[in-house]
Amino acid sequence: MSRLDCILEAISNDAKHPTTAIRRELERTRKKAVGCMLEFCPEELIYAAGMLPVGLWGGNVELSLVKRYFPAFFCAPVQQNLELALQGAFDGLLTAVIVPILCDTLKSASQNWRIAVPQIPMIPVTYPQNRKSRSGQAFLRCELEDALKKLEQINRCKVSEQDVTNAILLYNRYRQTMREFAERAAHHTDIITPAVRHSVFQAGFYRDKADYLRTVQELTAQLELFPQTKGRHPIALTGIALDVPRVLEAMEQNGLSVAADTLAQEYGQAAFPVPDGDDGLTRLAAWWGQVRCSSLAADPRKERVEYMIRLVREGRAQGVIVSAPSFCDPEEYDEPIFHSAFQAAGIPHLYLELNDAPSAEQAAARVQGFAEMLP
Amino acid sequence: MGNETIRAKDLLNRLLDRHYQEAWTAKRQGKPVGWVSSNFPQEFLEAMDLTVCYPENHSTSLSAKHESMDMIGEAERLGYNNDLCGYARVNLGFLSKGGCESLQMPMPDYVVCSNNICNQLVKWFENVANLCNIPFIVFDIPFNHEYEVSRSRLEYMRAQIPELIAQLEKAAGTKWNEARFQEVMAISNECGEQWQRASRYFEAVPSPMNGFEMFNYMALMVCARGRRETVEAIRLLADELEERYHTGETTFRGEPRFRIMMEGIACWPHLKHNYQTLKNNGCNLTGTVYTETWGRTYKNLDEMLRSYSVVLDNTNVDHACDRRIQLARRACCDGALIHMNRSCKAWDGILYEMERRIRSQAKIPTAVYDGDQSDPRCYSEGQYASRVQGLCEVMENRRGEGAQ
Repeated sequence: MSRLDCILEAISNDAKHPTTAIRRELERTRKKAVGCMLEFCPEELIYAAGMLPVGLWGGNVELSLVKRYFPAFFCAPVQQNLELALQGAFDGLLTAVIVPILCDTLKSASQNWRIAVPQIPMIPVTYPQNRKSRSGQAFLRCELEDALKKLEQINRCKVSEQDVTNAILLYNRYRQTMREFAERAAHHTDIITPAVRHSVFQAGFYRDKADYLRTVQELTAQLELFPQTKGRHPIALTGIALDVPRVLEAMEQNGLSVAADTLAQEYGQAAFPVPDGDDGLTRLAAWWGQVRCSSLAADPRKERVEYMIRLVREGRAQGVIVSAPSFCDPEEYDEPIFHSAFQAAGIPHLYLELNDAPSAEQAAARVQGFAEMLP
Repeated sequence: MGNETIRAKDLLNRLLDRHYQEAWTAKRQGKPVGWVSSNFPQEFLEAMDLTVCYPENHSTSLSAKHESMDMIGEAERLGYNNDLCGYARVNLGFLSKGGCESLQMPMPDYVVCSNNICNQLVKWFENVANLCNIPFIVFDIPFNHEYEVSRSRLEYMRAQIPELIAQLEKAAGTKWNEARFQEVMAISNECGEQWQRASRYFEAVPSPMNGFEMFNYMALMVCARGRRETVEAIRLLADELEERYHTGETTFRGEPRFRIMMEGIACWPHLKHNYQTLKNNGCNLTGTVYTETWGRTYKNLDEMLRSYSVVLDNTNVDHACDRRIQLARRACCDGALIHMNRSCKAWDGILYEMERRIRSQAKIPTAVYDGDQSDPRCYSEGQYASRVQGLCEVMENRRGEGAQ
């Protein structure tokens, strides 16, 4: 097995078996794990407090206990996370969980977690809407400060300014590493299939970033040894997440490769470095003001639409797939704006609502139909 | 003849008509008209003499007048998913169609919103601003995950005010008037006091009114609670209720056997069926946090901001439950009828927990029914009737047990 194959196999295993990966990392680093509910969590704070941030993006679990808390028409990964917690899957694994309050579902997720899973403390962080203004960033700084105090209590430690600065430095290096990987991956679509590309981003949620960024750097370097290829149908992804194996497989089967993405689960969190500033918390608050092309970050200009159109016009992608969990209202509000803009620009576009196994099969069929529309 | 008595209901209708007429007059005169979210601190707008309309209120009217499906159909044709807020779908459909049959509202020149009701509102108004290419002004009132409003939230709200005023001055071309602001705060307080007074009679035993009437007056509290004439209309309502209370009269038609707390936004497209089913089962609506929330009073700017911060869906679950439990006890409710409103994720996400706590802590039976604030397709008359019947049976049994 080549070095490249070894790296990819290890990454794939971690992406497929998060609990095993997290347990191994905890043992290796002697750290405690703190769960990050979906996107834009202040992972740097967890890292600065000497713990391991791990992503909670739901999982393949039948919803049962969670029905005591959520009606059926709520975001699947949020429900799956709470279901797993109620089943005890996180007991002994997570020391706490951070819920970034970015949408209405995450508001109630924070409340339901606190009631239903008292053994795993929940730390909420409310994100401001006026995220670019000084007042909004000052408010977010207070939220982050409160979260950091709770993390210090949980890990019985004192976090210094240098600890936060070091964590930001590491995460900025990690983001840069992921951006370089994504750039390179677009030129090796025979190796970095949609499923492989996704697994590289996903595994990062279960690994110590200091270690994992070296893995991804090596992967990117290995790719450079191979001749470049361009996929039959390069496309751009946007939305929250496209993490359903059956759909990723259908993309590959139909000749689709990922040229770029702004998915909240993938490139969306790597796209922008934490900016310079007076102190670590201020810098992290300012980062939220810099996030672009996300349905969760207020933007009346809908810059994301222009960005996706530009990707196609520049010849990097032939079409766009928007992917979100069912009942994701931030994405559902943007979709009609996308629809009319893409239609006017003559850009093929597919909106996928991904929920569970039956919807994945249907989504796979729609991917096939989408591929037939591409040039 | 000149001394004809004006009833609160007539005054209400007159003022609501005037609200839309004023907006149209402004539009015709070339003055900017804003669209504003219902729980935005209207004191700022009134102080600047801005002409504004409230899309939530407009969507409510179209839903109650059975015109919501035309607008919803248009929104869904554009690609809006049917699990989005019904008010938003009605409004975005209205925006796309450029009008409707039953109640015209001028198109906006700017939008102003707060997210203290929900974050969906920001997305909805963001779309309106994008589609109309007009200014988008947000006064951020962040979710309270703690029981009380934190100092950082209060400071954030305060810090936004200069920017808010600057944006409003630019969008509407009028200047800030501090003296007028103080005056509007005083009027709004009076309005809140009169609303609280009316609410006390609404919740009184025996209740002098058919509780569904409170929904009608709520429209005025949304649109014009900073105006002197609204104070007078609500004062008149409270006076009428007071008089009926003391004479033992009520506008509830039938024998009021049970007192019901209604949880959730009203199911406007089926309000008549809601009411008649309850009435036929001897149930009168005597408490709802939905109307209670408009009884806002404060002594200064900080208290005003706090009052906007703790509106219904912006508090943590403990605060939300306590508010319901206190109401159920205060209004001596026999049972709670809970609307699983398909539109409102901000409300529904903690509704099951609220239902459990209402049942266990207020010690009253509950029944949950499916519906929607605007989308008539989400409601089943049969389900609603059977849930009400079931609730009545439990209330009857408990009464019997209590008598033994």
